[in-house]
Amino acid sequence: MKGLRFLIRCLIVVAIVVILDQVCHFAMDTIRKKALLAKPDNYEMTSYYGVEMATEDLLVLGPSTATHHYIPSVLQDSLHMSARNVGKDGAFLYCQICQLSLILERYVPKLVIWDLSDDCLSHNLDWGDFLEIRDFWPYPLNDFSKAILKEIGPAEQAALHSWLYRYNSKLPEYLFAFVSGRNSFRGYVPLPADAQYAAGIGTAKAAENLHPLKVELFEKVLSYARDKGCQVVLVTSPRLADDDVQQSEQYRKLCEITERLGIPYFNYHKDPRFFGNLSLFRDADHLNENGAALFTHSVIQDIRREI
Amino acid sequence: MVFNSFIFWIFFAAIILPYYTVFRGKANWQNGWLLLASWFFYGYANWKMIPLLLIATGVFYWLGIQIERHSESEPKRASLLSTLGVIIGIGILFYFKYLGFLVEEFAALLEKMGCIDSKPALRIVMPVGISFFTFKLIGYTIDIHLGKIKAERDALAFGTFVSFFPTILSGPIDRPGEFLPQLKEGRSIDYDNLAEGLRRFVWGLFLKVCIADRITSYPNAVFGNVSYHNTTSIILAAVLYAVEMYADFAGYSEMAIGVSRMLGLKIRENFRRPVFAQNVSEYWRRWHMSLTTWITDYVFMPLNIAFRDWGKWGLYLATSINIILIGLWHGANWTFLFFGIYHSILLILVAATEKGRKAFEKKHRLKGRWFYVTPRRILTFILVSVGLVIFRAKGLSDLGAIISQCGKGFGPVFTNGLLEIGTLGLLSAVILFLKEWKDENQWNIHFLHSEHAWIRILSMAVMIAFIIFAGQWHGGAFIYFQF
Repeated sequence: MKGLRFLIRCLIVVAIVVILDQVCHFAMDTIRKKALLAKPDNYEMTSYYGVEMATEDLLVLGPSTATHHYIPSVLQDSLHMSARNVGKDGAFLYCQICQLSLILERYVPKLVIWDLSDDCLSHNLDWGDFLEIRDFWPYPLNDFSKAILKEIGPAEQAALHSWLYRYNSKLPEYLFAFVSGRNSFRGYVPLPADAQYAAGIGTAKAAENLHPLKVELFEKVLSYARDKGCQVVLVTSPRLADDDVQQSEQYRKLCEITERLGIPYFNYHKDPRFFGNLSLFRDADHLNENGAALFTHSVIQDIRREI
Repeated sequence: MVFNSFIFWIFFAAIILPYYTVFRGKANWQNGWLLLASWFFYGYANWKMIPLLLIATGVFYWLGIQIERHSESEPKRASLLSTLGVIIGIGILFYFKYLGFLVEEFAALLEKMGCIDSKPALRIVMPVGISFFTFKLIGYTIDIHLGKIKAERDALAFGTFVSFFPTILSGPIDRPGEFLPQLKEGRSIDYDNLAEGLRRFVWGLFLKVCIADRITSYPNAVFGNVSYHNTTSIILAAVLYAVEMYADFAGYSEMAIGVSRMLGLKIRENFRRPVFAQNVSEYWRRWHMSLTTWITDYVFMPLNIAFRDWGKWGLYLATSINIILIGLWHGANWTFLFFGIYHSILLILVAATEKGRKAFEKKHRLKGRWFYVTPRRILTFILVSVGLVIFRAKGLSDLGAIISQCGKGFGPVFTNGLLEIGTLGLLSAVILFLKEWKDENQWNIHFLHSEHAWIRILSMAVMIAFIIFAGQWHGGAFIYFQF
């Protein structure tokens, strides 16, 4: 009798959690949509903007190098297309693949400038990438996110059955968007040119081994974009640090894929206009606002020439 | 395998099901099952350390029986064997925890003096949980020698006591006299125990994933790059680190107590609302109680008796040795020594002023008055937080950098998005504070322990939902795993 009572009480607890789970889905979805409408330029909301609201002809996609290096107003004026930067700090290849696939499910931009590191296909898994990808868990899972989820592990797969988990940690992000002053310029966040940090300048050896799932999904999403009629341009931003990535297997693979699929790829990693020029950098990996202006113009010239 | 991981829950489900079905009520089978589970759990952390655990268990099992056998016929031999047990226990600790550090420090000294060209590296991998199970074993031999307990002849029960998986990695440090008798009886499912265990586990999970793992990013960011931060940010980081430390360790202890309770076993409490301590002495009676009572029973009391002829100076000396040992128990680092010295100074101050303070309280009827109690609690919290900054520093140079940076003055507080990340952690910390406040004042308001079933059920469901929603599920290991 006592056992049955205990069991019933456990079941009631589970039932209440399930109800709260559904309430959470409804409430959080509403809050995010309202936050996006209220503050579409909020820095924290850029990845959601891309998936839910963007209608621009040109989108800039990528990690922090995208956020801080591409000025949408300059792109718009020069290329005569409405432009928007939907890059996000810390969002690496898996995030970008997920984001692009979700964007393409809703609408097809004419041009996507995809900023990626030239060692993006390496086997080094960044846990930060898995954390950032959580931005996309509230959306319906597609083939790309399912494949990434499989790699993360069965615990994560099981946990995603819960909306409470899908929205885990997201409430402050959504709420702060209403009040936060961290606005961007259509997704672009300039870095001040008043200080430089020389940290990280030096040589870094690149990882040699390829990550098969990254290669597979990268190719797949590029083909998906092409089939949808979206022109993708790949760009590697300038860096202050020297390394041997361009001798690596993952770089050769990246070039081979872009060549095979006919996708323009502009690599500024060691571009002499930037390489070693401290006045254009905020830190080893990021251009300051002066560097970003010069870089955006350079990318525009290359796009005009190639496309 | 940490308590807040999916894999642990699967492991625990696999343990508890046969425990209460196939092995129900059969003490030997249940102990054997727990022992196997504990070895698996320990080996999952580092299987290479299993032999050490097995050898230590075997040696102390034999020692216990020998001490008891000779205690009446040959008390000197029994005493010798007991001392041998203490030496072996301390020897294990010394080899794995302190030898590498001492060799390195000595070599660094020789290097500075120009006696050697380069420091030799001595790499000794420290087994996880070593400080906890060696203390259990040392306490076991002393208790037998003192006649407090009988030597355990049931190898399965003894092995389970040493390796019991909820406590082996980070305590609480069980006493054989309390734990071993519980293993004598077969355990059947007790729904009150199960429900209480679940409540304790869920509360511990809340402390760990909603508070400790949430707010850890701030102290990590500040203390990790201390040269970029001002005094304001360092103070905030120190306060948050104190909260993190409590939530992390108390969270682990709560989960360990919960898991044990679900298995029908009661283990020691480890914390009693230390944030409400009114002085540092009271703080140590509320913080990591299983360690402080262990040190008090096996170190402080004998020392206090040995030094009793020296009056209050004897007490101060015994207190200092006691607290410095607690500091050094955490590991081999100068910062742990300074942590102990810092607390010994505070404890001596508390002891030295006790008489006058009590007279003052009596004269002005201050005892229990909020305007007297609250500032004392705040002051204690500040003092403890300062101690934890010493505790957290990676070494003396790190500690020096923090102190020198504090001298550079106040300024705008560092946020950089971290406060947004930590908001849920701060909200959870407020929930913790209110709960502790309620318990401290013994207010008759209960949620998880309400007398009404519907409040208990609703509280549990809301708690679980909140943990899933607000918990940091990709946090690090427990801080005390490193000790």
